[in-house]
Amino acid sequence: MAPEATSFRTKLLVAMMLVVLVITATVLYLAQRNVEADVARHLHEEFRSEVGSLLAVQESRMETIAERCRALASSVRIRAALEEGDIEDLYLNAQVELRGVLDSSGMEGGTDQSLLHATFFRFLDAKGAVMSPSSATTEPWEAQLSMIAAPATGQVGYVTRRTIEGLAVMDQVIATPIISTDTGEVIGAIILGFIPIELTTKESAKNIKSGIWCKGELRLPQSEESSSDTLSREVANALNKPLGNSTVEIDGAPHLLFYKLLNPSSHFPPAYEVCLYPLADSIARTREVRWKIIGAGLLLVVGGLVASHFISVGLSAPVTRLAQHSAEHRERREQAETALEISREELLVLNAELQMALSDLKSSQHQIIQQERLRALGQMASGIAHDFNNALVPILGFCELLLLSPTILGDKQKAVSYLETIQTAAKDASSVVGRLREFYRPGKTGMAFGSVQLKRLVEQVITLTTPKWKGQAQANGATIEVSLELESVPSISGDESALREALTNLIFNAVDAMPAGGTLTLRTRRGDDCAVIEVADSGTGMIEEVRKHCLEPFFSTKGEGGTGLGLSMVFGIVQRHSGSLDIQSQPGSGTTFIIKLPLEGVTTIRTSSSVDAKLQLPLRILVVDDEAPVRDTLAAILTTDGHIVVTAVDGAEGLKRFASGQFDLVVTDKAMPRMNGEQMAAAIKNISPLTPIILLTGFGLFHDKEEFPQVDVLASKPIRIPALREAIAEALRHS
Amino acid sequence: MASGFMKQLLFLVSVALLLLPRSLLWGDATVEGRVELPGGHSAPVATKRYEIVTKAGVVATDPAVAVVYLEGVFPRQTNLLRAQMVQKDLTFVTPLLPVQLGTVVEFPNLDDTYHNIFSYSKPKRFDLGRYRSEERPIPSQVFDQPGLVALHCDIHEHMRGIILVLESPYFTKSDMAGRYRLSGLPAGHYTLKAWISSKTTLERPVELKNGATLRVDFP
Repeated sequence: MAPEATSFRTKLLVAMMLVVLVITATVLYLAQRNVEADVARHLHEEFRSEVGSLLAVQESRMETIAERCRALASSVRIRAALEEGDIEDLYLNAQVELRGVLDSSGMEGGTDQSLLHATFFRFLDAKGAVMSPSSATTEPWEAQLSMIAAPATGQVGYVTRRTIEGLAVMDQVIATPIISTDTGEVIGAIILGFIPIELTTKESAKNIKSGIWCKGELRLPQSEESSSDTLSREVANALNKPLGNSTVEIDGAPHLLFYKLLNPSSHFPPAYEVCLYPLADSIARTREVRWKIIGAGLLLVVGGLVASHFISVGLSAPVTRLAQHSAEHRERREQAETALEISREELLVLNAELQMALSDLKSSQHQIIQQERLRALGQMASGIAHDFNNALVPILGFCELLLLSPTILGDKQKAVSYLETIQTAAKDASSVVGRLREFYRPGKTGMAFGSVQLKRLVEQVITLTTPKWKGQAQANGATIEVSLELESVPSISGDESALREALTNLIFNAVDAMPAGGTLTLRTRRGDDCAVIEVADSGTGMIEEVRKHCLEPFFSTKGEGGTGLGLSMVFGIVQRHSGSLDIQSQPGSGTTFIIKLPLEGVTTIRTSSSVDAKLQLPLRILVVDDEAPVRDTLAAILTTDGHIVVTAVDGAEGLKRFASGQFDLVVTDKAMPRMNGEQMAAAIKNISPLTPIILLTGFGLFHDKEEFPQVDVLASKPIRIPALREAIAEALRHS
Repeated sequence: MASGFMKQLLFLVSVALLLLPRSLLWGDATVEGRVELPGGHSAPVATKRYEIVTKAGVVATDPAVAVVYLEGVFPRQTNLLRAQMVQKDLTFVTPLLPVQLGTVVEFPNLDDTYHNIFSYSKPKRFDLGRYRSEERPIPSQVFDQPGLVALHCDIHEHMRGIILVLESPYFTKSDMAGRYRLSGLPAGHYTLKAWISSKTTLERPVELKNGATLRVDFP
């Protein structure tokens, strides 16, 4: 059986036993109380009936006495004696009269004659004072008889009197008024003393004590006087209680005490008939009943146990079934939960697999992008080579021209013009190389942000892209007109070459979009808090679907000819400049790309610091490069800026030089024989950790500063003067 | 017998004195007036009976009647005075009887039944016992102490009488209205008293002159 069911049965048993016990206890209590109440009631009734009969006897005695006294009072002699205050005559006459009264056998038969036997008599005058028969021997107890005035009606009282033998005796006294026959006024009273009427106690209850309690004294005929004192106190206490009965202790035994007023509305002090019933009998009865009930209760308990056993068996059967069902349910639930747990684990595994698959997918995507990028690079390489060659053409051309005709150098204006063209071409060549960088370091920070003049930039880009829109288009038999609507806009902060590349891309796209020729329009203007560049073509335009997706990587409409990366790259560059790119396009009427770039003022710290760089105090600079032209160029630039320059041909010599002299700064090439730049930088840092080191590298575009912790600034070759100054300023800032 | 002669002579003198006009012997002053009686609201009826009642220990007549008497020192009466307290129709005919000290009062029973006249009063305690009308001699008592003697009949509890024993020979009973008249009084200074009840006796000093009538009202 299930333990729940057993426990249920036990609980049921205990509960039933408790109920039986409670019932037994209640019955016991009630029965005991009933027995006690019964005994008390029974005794009280007995007492009442006895006191009632006593009172009846007393009443009849009083009536008889009153009648006799009326006769007595009507005696002319008594009255005359009373009027005269002649006590001797009064008592003399009264003796005669009373003898006649008390001896008269006119009473009905059966009445105890002793009841009417007066033990003494006294007269009261009209003022209620006792008229003692002989004033010389007035007994002290007679004072108890006096009243405020002679009573108008019969009075019953109790007085304690000392007999001649010296015994204290309690007498019942009946006072009867003596009324004048002619005036009807009370002229006195006669008091007759009697032996008190005793209760007719039954023989069966011989222990019953009865007596009269008056003025704090209890007179028990059966009781010795000594115990009366304590008893009197008990009775006095009991009388103070409002109830007509109470329980008192007499000689250690409980007694039921009843009392009743014997002389209601009397001028005499109140007297009570007191009856003490020993409770020993009732206690015995109670005990007997108690044992009976306890026995019955035990039987009931045993019966209840048996019954409750059967009942609980009967009741617990469904509970057992319920418990079984419940256990089954629990098992099933546990199974279900286990299954759930398993499936959860499976799900976790699946999830992990999916995660893996996703990461695989991502790496695949990355690889694809890389491949795509490489492919694009390959495709661009021809373009770049072409551009680079184009850039080299003016450089070589003007250089040859100058070498062949040195006299031109004399014409300073012409020479500067030639040199500027050379410089621009060289810059562009450098920029073309830099373009490759974007394919490898998209989104990397460390872009050289500088101040960019958009108008000039656009003009440069148009010049640079001439081969595309003029040469290539013409080669395809199309004529493209270029329209420049360039307003002056404030310079912006940005990466000039990146922006140039972006514009180049847009121009290429525009040219590609006009296979049959058209107009390419470039605009610069100022917008709200921004500079705006617009590249518009009058080409085929884009349908909405294309326009939506054209900025996404790998989206191309050019088939094999496009990488799908051009516009997404443009978008990336614009975003890096915190700008926006809008596209307005109508199929058949062309497309306009609108680039909005924030105006300068946000990121201009570099520019100002580059100005400061020139103001530096003359520095002692160690220049280390294995290539003499570069070394000499650097030395020349730095010397021109007012610095003191010491040169070394490789790392080893550089280190030697550094150790033998005081240097504020070290500028070194990266790739050198014997000891390369990094090694030397590390060695120098060991000697003087605070000396700033600038590392120049022809591969600078493909490296990050973080790869060379031993140097302070990483600069890429070929380095131009402003960049060099800036690098110096930054290196000094670092130290 | 000398003593017998003397007795006869004394008797004759006494008779002569009695026959003499009082004014000559004792003077002739008169006092009259009215005693204000308690319960005076009841209209005075000349023939109305009165009875003796005891209320709160005070004995008086009802309706009230006063006994007016002159108090003073007077020569002792030598002659034997007699009076009667007659019982008839189960009552005393004159319930209030003033008598001079030393008077012999007879208690004739004129009814057909027994009477038993007795008194517990201090001035005179007596008990005549039962007697009928034919009882001879008529039961009598000498009242030789001044004061009030209350009479009872042992057989007839309602019968009450008063004998007022006075030291003075000059007394009279007023009528129901309290009017009285005392004549033949000796001249001189006296106290005139009016007994109204056992508790109340009014008094006035008076100066009596022969032939003059003094008007004294109580109170």
